[in-house]
Amino acid sequence: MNTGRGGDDTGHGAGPGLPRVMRLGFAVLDRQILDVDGVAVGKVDDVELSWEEGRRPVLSALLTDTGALGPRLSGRLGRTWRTLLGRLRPSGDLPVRIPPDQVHTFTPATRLTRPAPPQTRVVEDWLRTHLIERIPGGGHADSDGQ
Amino acid sequence: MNRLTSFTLGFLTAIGGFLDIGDIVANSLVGARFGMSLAWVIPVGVIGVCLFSEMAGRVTAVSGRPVFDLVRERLGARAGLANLLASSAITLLVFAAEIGGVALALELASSVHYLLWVPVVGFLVWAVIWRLPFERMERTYGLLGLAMVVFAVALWRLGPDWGALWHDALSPAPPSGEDWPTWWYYAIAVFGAAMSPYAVVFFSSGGVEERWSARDLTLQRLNVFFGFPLGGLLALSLMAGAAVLLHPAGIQVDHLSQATLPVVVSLGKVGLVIAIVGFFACTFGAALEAGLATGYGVAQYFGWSWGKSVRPVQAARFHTLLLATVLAGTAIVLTTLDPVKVTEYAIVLSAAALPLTYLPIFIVANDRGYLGDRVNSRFTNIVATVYLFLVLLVAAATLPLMLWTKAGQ
Repeated sequence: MNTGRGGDDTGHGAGPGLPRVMRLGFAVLDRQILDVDGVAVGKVDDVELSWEEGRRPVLSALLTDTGALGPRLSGRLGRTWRTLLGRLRPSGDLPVRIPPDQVHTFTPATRLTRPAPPQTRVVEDWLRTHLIERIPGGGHADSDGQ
Repeated sequence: MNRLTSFTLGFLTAIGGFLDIGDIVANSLVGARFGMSLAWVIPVGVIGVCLFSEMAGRVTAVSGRPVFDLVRERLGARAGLANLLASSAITLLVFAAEIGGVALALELASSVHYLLWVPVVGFLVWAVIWRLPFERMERTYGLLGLAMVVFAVALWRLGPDWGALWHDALSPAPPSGEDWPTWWYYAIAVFGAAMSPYAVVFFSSGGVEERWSARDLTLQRLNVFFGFPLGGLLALSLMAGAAVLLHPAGIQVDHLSQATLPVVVSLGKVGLVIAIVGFFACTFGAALEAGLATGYGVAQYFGWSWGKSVRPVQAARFHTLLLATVLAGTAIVLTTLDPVKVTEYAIVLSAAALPLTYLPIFIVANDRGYLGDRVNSRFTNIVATVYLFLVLLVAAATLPLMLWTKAGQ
């Protein structure tokens, strides 16, 4: 089995229960991902396609986090982005994979059937515990009649 | 009754919230330097911002999607990122200009040098973003901004020759001593001040924060179509006041205090106090909008959780980014760059950046996949296409004109 990454524009068999033709470039890539509670997880930054020789490629995972965005950006902007993020993250850190069987719907936003994978929240959690939580009032919502 | 109240409030907020440091500087400066010969640009800008806001508001209300969510989805990762970086850089510049404007207004009130006010203003802006509820924040500064009506009263009290003003406004050509490129350069400045992209990003993200639905469309449209043109009238009275008083005297506007002269001359100290309150409210409100717009854009592009309606601990990246934006904006003003000059560059570059947000919204506003039967009408599409060519023309002309005229000198 080979795996390949990249924004292929068409794909067939986008996971179990979804046997219709769908355009990955349009309906999957760059869509907002929400977890089962409606919390924003990130964007579909890239997709992973797997195939066996002589068979059609199958969408095997959605990739998310800004690191996964790097390979999709070409040109000078892409190179700068990759270099910058490469410096910022530990080496060997791989993008977060979400298997398509955890996806409830793809459009208009990608809804998952379970809570967000913990790796997607590393930066958010770090900033919360080290910065935002320590500022007075960080735990108050602004609406709800306060 | 409740709907009437919320219409009145929203409508007044739209009038007061229309003006920001860009409008104050551009219209006073242009009135003083070119008389009323560039007055025609204000209606062009106001129609543009009504059209743009209406489309963005409709897209948000029907699909629940704000601008940069759609920018990424429709332009793709790469073009979307380039768009985000350019838009954020310019919005940051606008934000810095607004902070400088607040500090200048406080200097007018207190005679304490504006640079001493800058850190205080930066902190206040952050504190309001951190703590004040979204709706109350928008209403407070929008309503206080109505103090700018004092400029219309001042113009009326100055008792100008209305016929001559009208005649000047109908002869669009540079006055003697000014050349065409400079005149066009300032036309772009007035246009960029009226039709500012950050305000539309803020407006549409605010719609998500306030959970607009298709039911809110009528109200939202009324606010835009009545509030913005009346805000435009205030912009026009700033320009006319400067044209009547400063243009014949040959006074140039290179400090905020000169923009208050029409009010001081006709209404004295009381007028000045009201004008300063108006300046403060407009620039402070716009600083909040521009600061939030930067955070909204980035968070929407990367898919973070964002917004003032969630607790800050649940949107840690968004709030960290806002904090960084406030620090960066404050730092830009603290470099002692002249805030009025920063404002001039900010509005001209905003005008040049308009297609980046206008085009994706225009495309989505025609997409039945997002809007169902609420897509653009034929009439809207005709006007929106004319404006598409206009913003593309402005974007192409801005940098050559800026270099050619040495930024309007």
